[in-house]
This record gives sequence, C-alpha cells and structure tokens, in this order.
Amino acid sequence: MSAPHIEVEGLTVAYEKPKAAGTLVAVSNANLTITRGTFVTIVGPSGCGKSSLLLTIAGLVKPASGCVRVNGKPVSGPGRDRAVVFQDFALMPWRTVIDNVRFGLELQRWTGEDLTERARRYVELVGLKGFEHYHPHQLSGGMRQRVGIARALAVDPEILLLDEPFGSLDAQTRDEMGSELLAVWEQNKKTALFVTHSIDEAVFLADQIVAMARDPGRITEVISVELPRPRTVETMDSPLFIEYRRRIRDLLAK
Amino acid sequence: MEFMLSNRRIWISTLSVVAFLGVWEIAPRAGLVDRTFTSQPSRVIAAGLEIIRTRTFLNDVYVSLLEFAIGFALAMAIGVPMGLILGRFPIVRYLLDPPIMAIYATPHLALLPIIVVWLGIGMQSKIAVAFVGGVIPILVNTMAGVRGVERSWILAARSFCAGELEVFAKVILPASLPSVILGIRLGLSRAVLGVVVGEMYQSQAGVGNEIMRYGSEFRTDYLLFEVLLVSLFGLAATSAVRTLEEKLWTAGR
Repeated sequence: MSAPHIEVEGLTVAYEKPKAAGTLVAVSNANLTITRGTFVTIVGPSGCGKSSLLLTIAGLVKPASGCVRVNGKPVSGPGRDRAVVFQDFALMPWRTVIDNVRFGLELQRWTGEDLTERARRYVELVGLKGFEHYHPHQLSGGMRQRVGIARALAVDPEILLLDEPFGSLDAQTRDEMGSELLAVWEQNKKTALFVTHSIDEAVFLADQIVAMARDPGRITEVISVELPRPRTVETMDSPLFIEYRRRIRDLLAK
Repeated sequence: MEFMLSNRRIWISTLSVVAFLGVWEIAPRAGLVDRTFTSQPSRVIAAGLEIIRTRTFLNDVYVSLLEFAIGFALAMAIGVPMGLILGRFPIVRYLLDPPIMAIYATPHLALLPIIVVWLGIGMQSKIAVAFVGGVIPILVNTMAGVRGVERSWILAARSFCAGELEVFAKVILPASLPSVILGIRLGLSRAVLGVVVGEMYQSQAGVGNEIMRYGSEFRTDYLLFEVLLVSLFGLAATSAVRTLEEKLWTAGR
C-alpha cells in the first residue's frame, strides 16, 4: 500500500449563522484516509456536511479545527493538485464551451499551444466536439456539466473533487453521466471524491463509500465496494449491487 | 421574412415622422396655429443654415461638447472603479452607501446653484454638473452588477488558485460589464442634461446658452434648431452605447 493521498484528521467545519444566531457545525470531528487512485463517494442526507467536507478538502472552506493533508502536506487553500466540479456547473455564461474549458488553464498559467491543445482535447474527451463555440445557455444540463468536468480535468489535477455534480440532472441523464464519468476516470485513475445524495450513484461509482449523518454532520461508516470494474448499466442489476444498496440504505436510515 | 418585417417597421416609423413634419409645416400656413409660437420645419432649417454661418456657432458647439466630454469621462473614470470596489467590498459599501444614496435621490440639477457659487459661470461648473449627473447611475449600476455576480463563479475561479486580482479580471469585470454599460447609457443622458441646463442657467457660451438667448428673444425657429442639435447628439450617443450593449448581451448570454 502506498502512502495515503488524502488524510482528514479531527476535522470540524463551522459556519457563522446569518443574523448573528451563533455558529452552525457542518462537520464534526471527521477522520478519513483516501488511497491514491481510488474513487470515493460521500453519501448522506441534506445537511450532513458532505459538501462542506469536500469544499474543505478543496481548500475553499477553512476548518474550525483539525486538518486536511494532501500527500502529507497540510491544505491551506486551493492548489493545482486538486480541481473541483460544482453542482450548479459554475460555468461563465459569457464564455463559450472551449473558453470555459480554457478558464482553469488560463488561471494556472498554461500558455500557447499547450493551452489550446489541452482545451480542445478535453472538450473532445467529454463528447462535446462540434459544440466548442456554443454558450452554456445553449446547452442541456448534462452537456453543461460535461464542460464542468472537462474544465476540471484539463488542468491535470491529481485529485478530482465533485460536489453533487449530477444533482440537478434528470434521472436518465444522471445514469448516463455516471457511466461516462467512470469511462473517463478509468483512463487515468485519478483520485476522485464524489459527493451525492443518491445511494445508487454512490454504490455504482465507488471503490469506497463514506456514509454521513446529520445533527451534527459526521462520518458514520466507510464501506469498501468490491464490485468488478469496468462497471456498466448492467452492474446495477447484479445481486451484489442490490446488497450494497440495501446496506447503505439501512445505514442512512439509522 | 425577418427582413420584410424590419423593412415594414422602417416604413411605418418613417411615415409617422413624415406625417408629423407635414402637419407641422401645413398647420401655420393654413392659419390653424400662430407660427411665432410653433415655427415650421422649413423655417427651422433656414434658421439652422443661418446659425451655422455665424462665427460663434462652432465655439458654442465646442464649449458644450468639451464640457460634456470632460464631465462624462471623469464620471466613467471614477464611477466604474468605485462601483467595482463598492460592489466587491461590503465594508466600503456600508461606509459610503448613505452619502451615495443621498446624492442618488437628489435631482442633480438642484445642485446647480451651489455648484455655480463654488465654480463660477465658466466651463468648470458645467463639467461638474455633467460629472455629478453621470457618475451616480454609472456607480450604482456597476455596483449592482458586481453584487449580482454568482458566488459559484468566484468559487470556481478560486478553486483554480485565482487571487483577488484575477477574480476581478476573469470573473467580476466580465460578469458585470452589461450593467456597467447600462449605467453608462443612463448616465450619458443625465450628463447631457446637466451641460445644457447648466448653460441655460448661468453661462457665457454653449448650446444651452444659445437656447436661452433665442428663447428670451422669442426666436422660436433659431431656438428649435439648437434643441434639435442637442437631441441629435443625445440620440447618436445613446444608440452608440446601446449597440455596444446589444453586442455584449448577444455575445455573452
């Protein structure tokens, strides 16, 4: 076993409540170790702090106490080793598809042929060849999130952080996107952390499932998923998949 | 089909203008109205040709344009950056919100007498009125544009390690550009108003000065030609900004 890629140690995340109504503890004393190259899903009900945990690992939220380490180094802010895919896509409406994919590359000082070539390649990778010069408002939700995924992958991060990326898509698009995300992931097996409230999605994608509960937001259990890869839509019909799904559902119902 | 529609629109619009000019020309001739009060298109044109030949005409236009240009350039140079800062940093906004809102609520022309007391009846006072008229809509709209920037866009930029300056350049500025242009368009007409009314109030030269003079002499033909000049300028400038605005919106949304 290699050294852990991400370590979360005694992490507590708290927010100021609006109108000075005190603080809200989003994540309480979370501990988690993630191995390089694994696909980890975080599942739990609304308000269990799963997004807060992800955004803290991204360096976008400062912890109240405890710490996050990537490659053994404490996280103090966003870094080039991590890229985020957002739930509401967070695409710039004034930029075209290709220019949105360029966004992260530009900010991380890629230049010239490298930049142009990578943007083109990742637009193609997520199946948007031919849509390079469309604006986000001309695309469906699924296509928009493909842009979001391409933008994150293009900067070549070690870790991909996905915050309920398919949360606003319809069920069918959601399943398709899940399969496609896995197909892309299989190509280079970056460490992936994926937040969802869908149990099916959590089981289908994961090597490991982190189950969380609310009041206060906390990690209740980490479950390894031994389903064979590559996974397809048929995987969801296998008895083993159904067994995992039942286990997670029981766990979250507790 | 679209071409035919827009063609028809142009015809109908032209027709209304022609009809208006026709009635205006014929009514005094038919004795329906007194031309001393209403004048006539032909007389306005004749007056215009005469005014253009006078020595003071170019100087009047020059003075008015210069007052507008300096006042409005200052309004943009101060309104846009201030709006960006006020929109981005709540503490500055809380600090400056009351005075700005107070000025926003005050008709800027009401400040004319005090500005003349401070700066005299020369060009400075008109520049100041144009500035005060233009700067507030620019500032307020820029600020609103910045506050309307989606939090997630900023978060996305920061996730790619953007610093505060890059967040400004890559997210806040392009995202609020349509509001900035809208503010400029609204501020523009208030700046023109400031210059003209400022000249009408107290001045030594300028188009507004001429409007006032011809008015007091009951020379409606000459007066209306000067008014026509101002409205043509306002129309040209506003539609230039509007074209820019439309280009931005179609490119960006």
